[in-house]
Amino acid sequence: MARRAMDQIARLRATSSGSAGQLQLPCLPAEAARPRHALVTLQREARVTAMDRFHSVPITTGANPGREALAISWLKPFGMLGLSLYNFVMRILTLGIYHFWGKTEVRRRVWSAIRVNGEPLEYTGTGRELFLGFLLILWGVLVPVMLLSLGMALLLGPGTTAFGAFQVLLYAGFMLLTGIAIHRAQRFRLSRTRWRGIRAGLDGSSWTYGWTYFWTLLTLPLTLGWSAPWRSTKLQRLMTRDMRFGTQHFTFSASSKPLYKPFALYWVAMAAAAIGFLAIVAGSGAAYSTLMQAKIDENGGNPVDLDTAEIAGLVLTIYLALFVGGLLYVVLSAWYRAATMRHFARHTHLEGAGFESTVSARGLLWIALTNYAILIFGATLVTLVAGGAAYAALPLLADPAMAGLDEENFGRAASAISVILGFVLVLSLGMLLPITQARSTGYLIRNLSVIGSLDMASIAAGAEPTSKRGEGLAQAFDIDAL
Amino acid sequence: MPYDTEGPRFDGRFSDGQTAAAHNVRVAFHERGLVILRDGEEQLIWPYGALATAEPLSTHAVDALVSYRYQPGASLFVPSGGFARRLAELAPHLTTSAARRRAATPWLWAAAGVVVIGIAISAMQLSPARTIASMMPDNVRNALGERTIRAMTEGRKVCETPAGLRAVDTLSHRLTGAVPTGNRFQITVVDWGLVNAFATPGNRIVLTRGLIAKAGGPDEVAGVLAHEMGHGIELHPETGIVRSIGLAAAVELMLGGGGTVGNLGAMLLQLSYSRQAEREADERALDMLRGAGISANGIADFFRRIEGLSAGSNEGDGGGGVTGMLSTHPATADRLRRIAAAPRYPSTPALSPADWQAMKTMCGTPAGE
Ligand SMILES: [Zn+2]
Repeated sequence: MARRAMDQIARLRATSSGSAGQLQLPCLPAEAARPRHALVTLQREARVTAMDRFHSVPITTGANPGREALAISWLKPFGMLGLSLYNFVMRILTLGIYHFWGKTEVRRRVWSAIRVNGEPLEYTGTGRELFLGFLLILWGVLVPVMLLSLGMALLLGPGTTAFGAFQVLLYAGFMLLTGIAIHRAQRFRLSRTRWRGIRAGLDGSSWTYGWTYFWTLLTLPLTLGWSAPWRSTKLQRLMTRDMRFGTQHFTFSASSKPLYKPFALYWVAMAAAAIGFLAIVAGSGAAYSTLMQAKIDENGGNPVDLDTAEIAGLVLTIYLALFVGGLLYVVLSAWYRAATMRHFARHTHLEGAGFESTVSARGLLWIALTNYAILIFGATLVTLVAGGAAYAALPLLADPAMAGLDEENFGRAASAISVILGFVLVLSLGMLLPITQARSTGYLIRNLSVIGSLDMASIAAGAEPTSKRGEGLAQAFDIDAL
Repeated sequence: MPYDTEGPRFDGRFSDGQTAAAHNVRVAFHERGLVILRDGEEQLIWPYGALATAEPLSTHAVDALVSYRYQPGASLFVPSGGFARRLAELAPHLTTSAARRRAATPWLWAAAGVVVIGIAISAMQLSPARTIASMMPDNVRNALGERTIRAMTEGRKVCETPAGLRAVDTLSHRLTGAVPTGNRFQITVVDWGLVNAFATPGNRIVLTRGLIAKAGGPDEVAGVLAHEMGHGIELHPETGIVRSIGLAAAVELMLGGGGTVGNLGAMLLQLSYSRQAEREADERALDMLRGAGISANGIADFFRRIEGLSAGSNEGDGGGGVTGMLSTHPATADRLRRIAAAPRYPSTPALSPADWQAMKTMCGTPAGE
């Protein structure tokens, strides 16, 4: 922590010629009754005081009246574990609906942890907006699409060429919608982000972005992935130029050329990993079919059904392979992703202010891997507790002396318990998401600084947001970044 | 008009929301609201009831970012935990617990309502899936059945020697003619080693060569057939499809994916009926068998026989899995007891010896060898 504070100070000295803060922070009032966690709060206040003293930059500097240097900092939010557990329990009790309100509270805390010149960002979105957005997508997109594909399956017959063509069209449509959803979600979040009462925003058409996202996606297989740096630069340019703070637009000047060196390394590593991976898959596939053929021969040439243990083994193997593949991607892409972030930040400007990111591959990897560990730990804990409780409850139900259930009702109670258990387990993977989201955001923010200054008086408030419908599209497609 | 304020004053930063500039101010608590003292400008008073904060105020708060409903855009930042706690006392709607209560209360009631309705539906033995199934028009049921049969018979021979078909028809008419439900069934025999029988939507039934081969006589086939007809009359296949489509839809919605509901035939193959459905089908079957004057022992004999087969080793007799029938139609002790308890009546064999022979050989090779 001390080192972080020193970094902040050094960065400020480098970027601003301002003197120490004019804002005199009040001493802690001498209150008779301190709250329960007084010590923690005191420590935290002491730290905030120290940080704010350096962050509160004078309103005017001698040379440029009205210009302020900017210092970005992260004030670790307090009580994210408690919030995670509370949201988890409430999501279960409200059959999932509280999700949107829980998410909103997490965002309010994470946004407030981001400080610019000591003053927090503000998230003004509401749970109701997210919920309505979700309903819109559910009934406006997902349900009609499902009914349509059901109708097509009945009309054309599954497995026919016509139905295959329909499915290809459907997936293409979803790809197009994905790009639109990314842009819409970004617009929603930015338009509900304020600093000093000034709203950020995103102009431009999400259809333009969605279309670009879609057709550049098609270039990836055609170029064996080599269009990826060009594509992400193009998309980032579109997005950044649409972004504004108040009336002030962001600008973006990066070319994709410097990204090709880290990308080449990444591509070679991924290709090697993919070949190794495919070899293993092919090997185990061959072993599996040999085994099956032996069984079929044993059974006099008739096809055999897999028993439950064999199916479970197969499913487990597939999940393990997916997990290992995902892990390989995260590890091997870390250098390229870090280079991309630094490159994009360096070429993003807001009036007289430029950005500088110091994220590193090691840092990204550390955050990603520890976040996985945290999520898995949470899910395991819930599985053990909930599974143990269900295991303890079943004999009680079965015992006629205790509950007096006959065979039929026992079956019913058992299936009700398993449904509840399944619901709890599905939610458990996301239980500690607030913690991991705060950690990821904190890492990015701690590694972000601003070079130059901003003419605050010239940045006026923009128009009020028009979209009231939340970011249901993004939620429905689960590409919500934060 | 200046307000007199007592108590501590706090330093803060005020932005008017017009530009991103901020000004240093002093802030004090007044009984009517928050008083903001600005250098060289009129002081502001923000009544507590119309305040909002960027994050809900907790006891750990170290600062507060306050806004006021009637001055949109304006914001006041006070970096003091003492200020935040005093504000929480004067404006309790800003606290974490108040915000959470506001958000959660209506949904907790709604969830409780849903649970109560769910329990009521299951207690009253209502089945929404069955209601939907009974509303299915006949052409949809027929289309579903045809699709399912096609999926099951794909790559397999359909057995259709004229004598065999006639025997199947005779048995089917004898059973359906005995009860007033008016259902007419279309029965397909498939050259398949698996011991199983399926009812599909649209009053269609599939019998396998393995089943006919394993049966000890025509009464046993008649019992199985009557049982499957019972499923058909009770619309169990239709109900099962509605339920699986509903489940698949729910899963797809939860996962947020947009794929399609997969192969319906495969879906039906994996359906297994509930105990209640089995009991209903058995009751229908017993009615039919009694009306047709066919012994009810056949069905019990058949289940006992294949249960014995699956308990003993599967001695590579080319019969395929005998567990198929048991997994889709669990033969519980309870079921066998009910069948055995049915009243006796005079009965004749389900098929003549010639017809039975025709059925046994309708898949080409003399079955059962
Ligand atoms: Zn059955």
